[in-house]
Amino acid sequence: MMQMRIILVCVIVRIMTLNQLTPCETATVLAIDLPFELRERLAALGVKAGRRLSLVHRLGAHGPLQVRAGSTDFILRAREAAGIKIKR
Amino acid sequence: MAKTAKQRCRIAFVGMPNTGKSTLFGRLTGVRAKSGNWPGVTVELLSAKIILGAKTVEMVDLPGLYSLHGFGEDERLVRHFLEQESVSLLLVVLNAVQIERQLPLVLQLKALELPMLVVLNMADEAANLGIHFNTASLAETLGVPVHLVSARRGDGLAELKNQLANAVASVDERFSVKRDDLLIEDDRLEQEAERIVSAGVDFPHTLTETMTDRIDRVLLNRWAGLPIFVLLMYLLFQAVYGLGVPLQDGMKWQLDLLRQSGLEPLLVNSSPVLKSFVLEGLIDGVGTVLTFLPIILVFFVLMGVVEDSGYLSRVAFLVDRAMSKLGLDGRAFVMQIMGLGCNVPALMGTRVIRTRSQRLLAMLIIPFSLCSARLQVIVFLTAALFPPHLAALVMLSLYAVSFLIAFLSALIWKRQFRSNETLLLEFPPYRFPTLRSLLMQGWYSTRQFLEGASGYILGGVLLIWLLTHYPFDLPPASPGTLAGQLAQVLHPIFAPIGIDSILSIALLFGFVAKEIVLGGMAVIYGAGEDKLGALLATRLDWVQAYSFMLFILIYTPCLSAVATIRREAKSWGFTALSVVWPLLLAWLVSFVFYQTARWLQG
Ligand SMILES: Nc1nc2c(ncn2[C@@H]2O[C@H](COP(=O)(O)OP(=O)(O)OP(=O)(O)O)[C@@H](O)[C@H]2O)c(=O)[nH]1
Repeated sequence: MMQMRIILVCVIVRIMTLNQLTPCETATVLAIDLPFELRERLAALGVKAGRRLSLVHRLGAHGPLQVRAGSTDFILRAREAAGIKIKR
Repeated sequence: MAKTAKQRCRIAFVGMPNTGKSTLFGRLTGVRAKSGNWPGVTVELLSAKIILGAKTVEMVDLPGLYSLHGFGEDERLVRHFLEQESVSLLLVVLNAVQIERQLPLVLQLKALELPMLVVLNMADEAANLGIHFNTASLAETLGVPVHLVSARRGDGLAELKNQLANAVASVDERFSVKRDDLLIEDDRLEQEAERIVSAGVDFPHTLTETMTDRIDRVLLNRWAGLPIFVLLMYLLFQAVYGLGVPLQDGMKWQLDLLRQSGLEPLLVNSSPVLKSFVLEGLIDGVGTVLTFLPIILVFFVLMGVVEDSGYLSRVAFLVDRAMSKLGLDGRAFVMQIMGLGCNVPALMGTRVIRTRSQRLLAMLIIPFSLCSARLQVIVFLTAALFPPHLAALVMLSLYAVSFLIAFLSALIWKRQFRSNETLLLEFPPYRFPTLRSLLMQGWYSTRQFLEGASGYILGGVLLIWLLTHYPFDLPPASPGTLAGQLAQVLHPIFAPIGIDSILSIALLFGFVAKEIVLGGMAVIYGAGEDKLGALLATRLDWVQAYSFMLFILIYTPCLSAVATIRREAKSWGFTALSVVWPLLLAWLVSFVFYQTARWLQG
């Protein structure tokens, strides 16, 4: 029981979503939990499971995010960023 | 892939958005398409015939696409083109800096088994970032020729042209693609792309902080970003007047010269009708519009610089939160800004918005953007009726009204056009204008203006001349003339908003093109640019003038804009709404303003 709780805590701590990242931090994409069409478009921008991402800038706590994947910069809203699971 | 019989060789340009296809197309064909540092600027197929080696070849610039399987309108269009039309060669354009993520598209296209040539564009930016390409190795692993060029600077284009000439020399057929081939998914493309890139491209270990990053740190600042945007727009307008007004004076001077020492002596003995037609119709009417040409041109060139700089995506980022409250997103605001030049390209640019309802909402508000044609009338009236120290304030207030009305409309209609559109927008690096791009932009806008608007203006102004002068024995624009009679009919509508009924004739024609309004006023009052201002000042007081300007600003989009809305929305109902709603709003706003102002005056 105790062990399970520890594992659970670890999982909670390590897996987060893109909108929880702070600027200048880099993370690896674990999974993308978004509609198919959006997933395709993100893939075309270089956002796929296993890829590295970094948060460049964001406007306030609920504002849009500027994200860098490789040599591509793009922006998206916090709502969609919440569907991208990452690990630091 | 299916072969078709002998036909002219056709080369199609394909690639992701904003990779420089249009720039390259312009360089190779001499035909200039609109380019902008903003994805989705190419929204119509542009084609040109050029001679390559010993052959005439047709080149087609297709809109950008992220993947062959995408669902956007552009992707569908490209698929449709490859399936229904046939091509001899695909010219695939990549942004060399982003080769890693653009290569899968190349592999998708390669699977179609069409003859193909890959162009790595933006060699200059890649070199600045320290990225090195081994094109021989890339070509070998890809199995197609690869060329490194900079379309903007012109590096490597001569070789590319030679290679293209060689490639098409032996091609006499075109191929079309089967729909099923277009939709094959292949998971291995990904790994293959990685393999090819790691073998043929040298990336620097750490990407250094670029100039773009440094500029962004200031321009995207949470607090300073928006004020800086407003300041930049203000400077833009200052520059337009600073550069445009002296040029405008030169133009006036030439027209006067033409009139006084050329036409007047020539016409002394001709019939009064002909004389009035030439002097009052052509010179006063069309000439008055022409004197604004320099300002409009400077304006378009500077807007072109802004569009090309990459700053507009940053603006979309800055305003997105606010726009989401209106049921729109940052892109719709950028279209408003593009609309300041001309509403038509802005309306077409809404294609980057994927949900239909949000796209319609954006199209509904774009026509409120104070385009350069309306700007002429407003600049003229402001200069004529307000003291210089107030003129700038009046102009500013009208821009404010323009945005307010647009936002208000979005608020009112957002429930009818509800959507859950997502915002996903690429940030290109900042790019600064080259002398060549400035000159091209200027030349292109002049040609567009002269080809597009001049016919309307000439026709409209001459028709107004006829209406205000027929029957020829009556004094011009008097109640007995055709225009005078028409004005009587319109009187009940325009009297409550303080617009002289004879001026309403000009408004009627402004529906065709707003440029006609000013020329029409000159004809109606029988005064050219030099005297019109003074004359207007005696006929209108400032309240009437402001009400007139409000009406011009808001009422129905011009005919080309309406045609564009109809074409893009594919709905007559929506087109009707986009005509009736502004008309209604224009009348209401002018009414409230005019009546309140009069009541306050006592
Ligand atoms: N630095 C650099 N910029 C370039 C080069 N070629 C094009 N550009 C710029 O890239 C931007 C996009 O160019 P376009 O020609 O509009 O691109 P496009 O692929 O037609 O874009 P869409 O219309 O969105 O499909 C413009 O700002 C160009 O000035 C190049 O070789 N080097």
